[in-house]
Amino acid sequence: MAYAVEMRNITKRFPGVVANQDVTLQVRWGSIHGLIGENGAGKTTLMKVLYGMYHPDGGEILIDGKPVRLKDPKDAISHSIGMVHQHFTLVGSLTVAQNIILGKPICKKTGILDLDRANKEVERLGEEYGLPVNPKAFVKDLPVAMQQRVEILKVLYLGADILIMDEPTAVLTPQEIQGLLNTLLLLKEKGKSIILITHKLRELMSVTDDITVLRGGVVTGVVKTSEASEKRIASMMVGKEISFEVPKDVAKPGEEVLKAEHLYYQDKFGVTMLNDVSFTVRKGEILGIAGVQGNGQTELIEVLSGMTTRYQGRIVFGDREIRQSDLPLKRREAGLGHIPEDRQTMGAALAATLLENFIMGGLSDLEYTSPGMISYSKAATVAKGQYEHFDVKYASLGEPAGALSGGNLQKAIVAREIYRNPQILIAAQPSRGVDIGATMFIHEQLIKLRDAGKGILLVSSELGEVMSLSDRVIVMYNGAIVGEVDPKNSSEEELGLMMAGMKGGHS
Amino acid sequence: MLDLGILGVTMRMATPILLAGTGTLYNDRAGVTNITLEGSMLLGGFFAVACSFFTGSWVLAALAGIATGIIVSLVFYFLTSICGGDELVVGFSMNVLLDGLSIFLLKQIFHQSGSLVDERIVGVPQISSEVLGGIPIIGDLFNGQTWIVYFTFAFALLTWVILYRTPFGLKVLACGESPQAAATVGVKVLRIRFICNLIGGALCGLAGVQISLGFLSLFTQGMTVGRGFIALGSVVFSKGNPLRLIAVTMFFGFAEAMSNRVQLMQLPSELVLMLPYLAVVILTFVRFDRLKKIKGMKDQEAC
Repeated sequence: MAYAVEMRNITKRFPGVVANQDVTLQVRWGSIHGLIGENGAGKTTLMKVLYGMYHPDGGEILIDGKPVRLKDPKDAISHSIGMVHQHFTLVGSLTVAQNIILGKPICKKTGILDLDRANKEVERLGEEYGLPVNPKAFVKDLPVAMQQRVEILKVLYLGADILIMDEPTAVLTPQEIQGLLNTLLLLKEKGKSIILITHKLRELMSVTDDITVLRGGVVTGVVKTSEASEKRIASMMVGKEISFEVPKDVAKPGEEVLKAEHLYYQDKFGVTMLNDVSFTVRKGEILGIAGVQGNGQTELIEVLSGMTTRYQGRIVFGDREIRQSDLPLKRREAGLGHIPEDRQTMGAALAATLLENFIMGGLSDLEYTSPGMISYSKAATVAKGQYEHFDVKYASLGEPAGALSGGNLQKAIVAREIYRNPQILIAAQPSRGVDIGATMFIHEQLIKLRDAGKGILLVSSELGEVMSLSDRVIVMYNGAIVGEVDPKNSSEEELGLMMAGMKGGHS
Repeated sequence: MLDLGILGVTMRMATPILLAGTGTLYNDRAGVTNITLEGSMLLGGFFAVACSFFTGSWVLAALAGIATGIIVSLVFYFLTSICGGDELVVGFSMNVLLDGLSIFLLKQIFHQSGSLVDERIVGVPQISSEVLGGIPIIGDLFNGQTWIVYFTFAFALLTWVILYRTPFGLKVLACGESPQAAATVGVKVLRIRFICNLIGGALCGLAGVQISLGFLSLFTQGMTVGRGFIALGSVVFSKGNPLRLIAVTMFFGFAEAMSNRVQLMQLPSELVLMLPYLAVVILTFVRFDRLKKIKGMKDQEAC
């Protein structure tokens, strides 16, 4: 039987970079094929070639055994290829049904849209694939997981038998991820072929049949999932054997550097998001906050960093009392560093250049400013050095931050924050959407900072990250701290129970 | 002063604004910022008058106006989408240029400065019927109008159907709000925008015809007196909804009709002529939804 998709020796060059070099990918009918690699390994480029968005400089594409030329997405769609993009491509002000039928409208004989029939069709499609949606809802009102469902239905509606999923789980919560993976298995049962791009090994191992590994634009491994191990795939990705354990010495905590006392916070709907939260972070230690997302972690960060000032309670940085009205800049001057949980909206200004991003928040740094004046050439020297030190890959300091891949941008933000020499660093989801190599690098940097005697508050929804990095872990549930554990002497299961609100552990 | 006759004037005055507004609405919803309405109307009006002068046919004159609008929109498309010019800069300079061009041509062709009035200029005929005139209100609104008035209101209503009930409209909305989304399902974004741009140009040209040949059968330099910008403001205020656009432009039409009436009284005419523009300022620049948001932000800061 012919392959559903066979890409032979695909080469794609961009000015100055070879994104894909002689890449061959074979996807069987009715299988889930994992495509894995670090950020910038060329996964998305390869898929854009398959979807007709990029034209390859060399190689050929066969769909169901027949060679095809794909000029644009329309061609790809007509060869029953569909792509669910990492960043959703939906029109917010249109309804679910309107979004789904956009590419192939359902009309009455008069040429007028038949919205009733469209709604019914969308409902039927949703039922058939176990993805129920409300066809009349406006997309902008839907939560992310639901929007993704619309994306998948849109692709199925256009008649896709080959689905490309570009990092579909990056935006989902753990429960939603499970739901999505089940959907993928159902689609496979119905005979669809799925190409799943991801860099989460666990998901990859649980649903795929075959795996192709890319590194630096070339294929470094093709394996059957049943014969592979996480370790082996990871080593193909980064090119060396790696261990997931972060090596670190025992913490030598010093005096208190961050003290929070009786923090209360209500959101604008009057819901209590923080309920009597008190804790301290000492110099030279990493305090991890574990918890299922939405249990007050985000609000805690907002309160500490000064993003919101409508809280009650006391915050002390070192020996400096922080007033409630102190805005983020003031708190930064008092020694706070902050790696925000969303690098695209809070961590960086995507349209501004890398250099501008580097000096943001540091406009009184005497290294490159004199009162009232900024020396961009001096700033460039500093930024270059720091970015090099943090292994940030970029073409020039003048390019917009948005041009960087996710992992690189995160490294740039970490580089900036650490350059400011903070006494306290809030690291929120520091490895979200970042590949293994960059994650390990960021972890190493955090530990280095800890060993230099700084206090670090780590907030992450990845339990493994919290457990391996932190010296102490507190668990948040429903806006309150429900317990503290020593990560060395407790299991993930124990922590999991506490995160679910069932008391346990030892405070 | 407030007899029902003002309704007819309101319709007449609202027509060019609604027509240009409807055209621009396609651009607006498809994601094209084309602000050449004013220049397009002015030059369209000029060529309509010129054509009427030479041929004596108001049909050919109307077609000349529409063709002028289309050509202006093609130039705009060429400069922005092919040469890569900034839409606002191109639009703004084209407005200035077209204003000057109409004066230049007036001088070169007709050896007139300021305005062109001549018996040979045939206006667009008005459609009167005794039956229609006999119906209260409806008669006041529609009797004795040019066919452009009927067309304008019919087309504005049709635009609602086109935007919200046809595949083309769906694609327009998608192109405007999320071109990426449209492109990924195979919609040709540039082609949709090109078509919208043409519609916009044609309607602006026709709006110019209504101003020059629908009101008085003459051409005066700068005779659109900012109606293009009022139309632009109306589109913004109506948030791109054709039905709301009809209501908004009727309001401006009414303001213009009122200023005509008030002029007859012993009030300073400059002050009175300001009325419609004042209405624009109040309606389009004071955005109540934004005010609410600003107030909300202030409240938050205060806490």
